[in-house]
Amino acid sequence: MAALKPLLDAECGTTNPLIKLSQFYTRDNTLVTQDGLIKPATNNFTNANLTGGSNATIDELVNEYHRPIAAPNTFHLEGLLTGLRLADDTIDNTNKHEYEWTTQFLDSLTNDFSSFSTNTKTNNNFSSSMIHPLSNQQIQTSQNIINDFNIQQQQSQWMPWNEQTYIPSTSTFPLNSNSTFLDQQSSTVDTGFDNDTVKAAQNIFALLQETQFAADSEFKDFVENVAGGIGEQSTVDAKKQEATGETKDVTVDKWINEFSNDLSNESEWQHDWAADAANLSSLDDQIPRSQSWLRHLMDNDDSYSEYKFSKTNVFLDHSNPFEEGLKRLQAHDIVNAVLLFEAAVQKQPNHVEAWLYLGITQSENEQDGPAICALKKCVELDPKNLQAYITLASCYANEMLTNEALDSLRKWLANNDKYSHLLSNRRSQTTTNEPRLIDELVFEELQELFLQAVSLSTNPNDIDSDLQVCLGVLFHLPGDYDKAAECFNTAVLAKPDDALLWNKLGAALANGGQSEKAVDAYYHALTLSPGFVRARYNLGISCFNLSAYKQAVEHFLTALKQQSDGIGPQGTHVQMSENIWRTLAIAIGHLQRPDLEQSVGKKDLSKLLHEFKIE
Amino acid sequence: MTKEKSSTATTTTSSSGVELKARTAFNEINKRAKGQPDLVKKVGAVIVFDITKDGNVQQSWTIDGKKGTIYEGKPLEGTTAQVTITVDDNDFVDLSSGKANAPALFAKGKLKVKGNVMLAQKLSTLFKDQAKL
Repeated sequence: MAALKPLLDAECGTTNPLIKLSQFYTRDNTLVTQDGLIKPATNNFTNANLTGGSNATIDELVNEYHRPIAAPNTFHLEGLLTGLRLADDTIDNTNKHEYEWTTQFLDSLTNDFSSFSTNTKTNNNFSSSMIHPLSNQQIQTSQNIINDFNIQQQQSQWMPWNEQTYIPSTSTFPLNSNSTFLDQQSSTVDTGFDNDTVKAAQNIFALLQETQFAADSEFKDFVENVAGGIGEQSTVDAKKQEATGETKDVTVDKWINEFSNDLSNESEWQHDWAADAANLSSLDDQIPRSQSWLRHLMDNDDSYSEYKFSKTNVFLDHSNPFEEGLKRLQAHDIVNAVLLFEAAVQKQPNHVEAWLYLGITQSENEQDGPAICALKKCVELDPKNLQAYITLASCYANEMLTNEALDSLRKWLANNDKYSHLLSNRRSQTTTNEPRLIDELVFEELQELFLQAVSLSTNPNDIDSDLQVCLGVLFHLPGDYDKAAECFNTAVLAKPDDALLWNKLGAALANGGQSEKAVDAYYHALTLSPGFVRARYNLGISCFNLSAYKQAVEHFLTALKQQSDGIGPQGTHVQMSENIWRTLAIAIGHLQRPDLEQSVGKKDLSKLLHEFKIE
Repeated sequence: MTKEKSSTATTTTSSSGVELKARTAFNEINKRAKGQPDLVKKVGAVIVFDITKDGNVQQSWTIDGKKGTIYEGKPLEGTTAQVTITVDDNDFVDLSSGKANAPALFAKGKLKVKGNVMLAQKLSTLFKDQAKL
C-alpha cells in the first residue's frame, strides 16, 4: 500500500493527476440557485455556496470537513471532476453525497497516508467499494478511484456506512435528469481532461500491480478499462442507451427498485456487482422481490391503521374538547390534553386539527404508536398538512421505520409551496405516486433536495426551522447524529422557545454520544414545558448512559407519574408508555435492588414513587 | 451450509470452548429483547455476528430480525444472513454497552461488515435505548 503513497501525497509541483482528479470532486453541483445557476464553485463546499449564510451551524458543519483548507492549494479537484463528468457527454446528476466525498477526500488527503497503507481493514472496503461506485455518477471509473481513497479516510463516521449502501449504478444511468445542471455543465467544460483521467488510471493501475490489490480483479478491470482509454466507457454508454430504451425513467426506476431489493436480500453484496450493463437483464428476475417489499410495507401500515382510544375518558362529555385541549397544551398539561383531543376526534371524526394535535401530543407523551395512527388519520383528511408530515417523520424515525420516515419527509417537501418546485424539477419524469420501496437512493435524493431547499434562502436571518428539522431527521436516520444535531441546533436558534426543538436537539446529541450536552438541551425543553414526558424520558436515558442510574430511575418515575396523573377525577388513566417501563426496569437492574425489580414487574408505580421519594 | 453448528440458543456452552465476553453481552441483549417483543423484529433483517478473539472467529451469533429471535450460532437452515459483522470480543462488548458506536469502530477498522450496511444501522436499538426525537 505504500506504493500508492506517491499518488496521494500532496506535493507541490508534482503533476499528480489524482490531485487534479480531486479538483473536480470539490465542486458541488447540487448547489443551484433559484435562477438555475450553479453557484460559483469555490474551492470547497463553503458557506457561500450553501446559502446567503443561512446559518452558522451549516457553516460549522461544512467547516468541520474543511479544517485542513490550507492544504488544498495543490488540490483543485473541481476542474478535473467537471471535465470528467462532462466528457461523458451525458447529463450528470450530482449526488448529494458527492460533496461529502469531496470533503472526506480533502480530509483524507491531508491525513497521514501511512495509515492508508497499513490499514488492513481497508482491504475489504477497497474491493467492495470499487464495485460500488456512487450512484448517479456518470464518470464511473474515475469516481471509483476517488471513492476508494475516500474510504480510507478515518474520520468520517457516516460515510463508510453509507457508502456501502449506495446503489451502484453499474452503468452510467441518468437516474434523475436535472435540466439546470445540464445547461450549466455544457458550458463550463474543457474536455481535455479526459487524458488526465486516463493517465491517472494508468498510474493507479501500475501501482496496483505492485500491491496486494492485484488480487482484486474487478477493481483492476475497472482501472484497466480506464487506462485503456475512454473506449470502454463509451461501450458502457452504448449499452446503457440500449438498456434504457424508450422511457428511460421507467426502466431506471424499475432498475432502482430491483437493485435495492437485491441489496436488501443478498448477503454477499460483492458478488452481485459486475461493472457492465449486461447485468440489467438478469435484474428483471428480481422484480418479484419488489412485490414482497411492498407487502412488507403494507404490513407495517396495518399496525398503525386504527387508533385505539382510551377505554375510559372522562372528557368524552366535554362541550368543547378541542379548545380545552389546546388550553391544556398551552399549560403544558400534556396528558390531559391527549384525553381531550381523543374526545374531540371521537365527537368529530373529521376534525383535521384535532387529529393533528392528538398525534403531536401523543408523541410528546412518549407514545409514538398512537401518535402515528392519529397523524395518519390527519393526512388522510388533509393530504397537505405539513406539520403532520414532519411529526410523522420524527415518529417513524423513532420507530426505526426508515422507509416510512423518508416517505413522510418527501411528502412534506412535495406539499410545501416553498420547495415543491425542487421536487418537480428533479422528478418530472417519474411518478411520485408509487410507494417508495427503496431507502438508500431515496435518502440521497432527499438529502440533495433538502440541501437545495436550504440554499434557496438568501437571507441569513430567515431560517426555516421546519426545513432544518426535516434535514435533521433525515440525517438522524442513517445515524449521522452530529449532522442532525447541527440542524436541530439551527432550528432552535430560530425558535428558542420551542420545547420540541430542544428535545430533538437533545436526542440527536444523546444518540451521538454527547450525553452531557444532551442533558443541557433536555433541561431547556423541560423548563419550557415541564410536562414534556418525552423530554423527561430522554433525560433519564442520558443519565443512564452517564451511569447515573439512580437519577435515571427518578426521571423515569417522574415521567410515569406524570402520565398516570393524566387521570380524570375518577381515576381513569391514559396508558403509560411501555418504553418508559422497560427502560426503568433496566435502570433498576443496575441498582442492584432485586426488591424493586419485583415492583417494576408488577408495575406498582405508587410503591416505587414512595421508595424514591417522588411525590 | 453451516459447518460449525453450535449448541442451541438456550445453552451457554460454546463449541470452541473459549470464554467470550460477547456471550454475557448477548444475554443482556436477550433480556432487553424479552421485555419488548417487537424489538428484534424492528431490526428487520438477519444479522450475523462473527465474534473474534485473537484474530480468529470464535463464535457466531445470529440476530434474526425477521423471526424476532437471537441465538448463538450461525443462522438456522433456511435463513440467510443479510449482514455479517465481524468484530473482536472486546470491541463487541463496547459496542453493545453503548460505549462505542458502530460507525466509529468501522472507521477504525475494528468492525467489518459484509452485506447491506444500512440494515446494520438498526442494531443500535438492541444495544441501548435510543433517545427519541
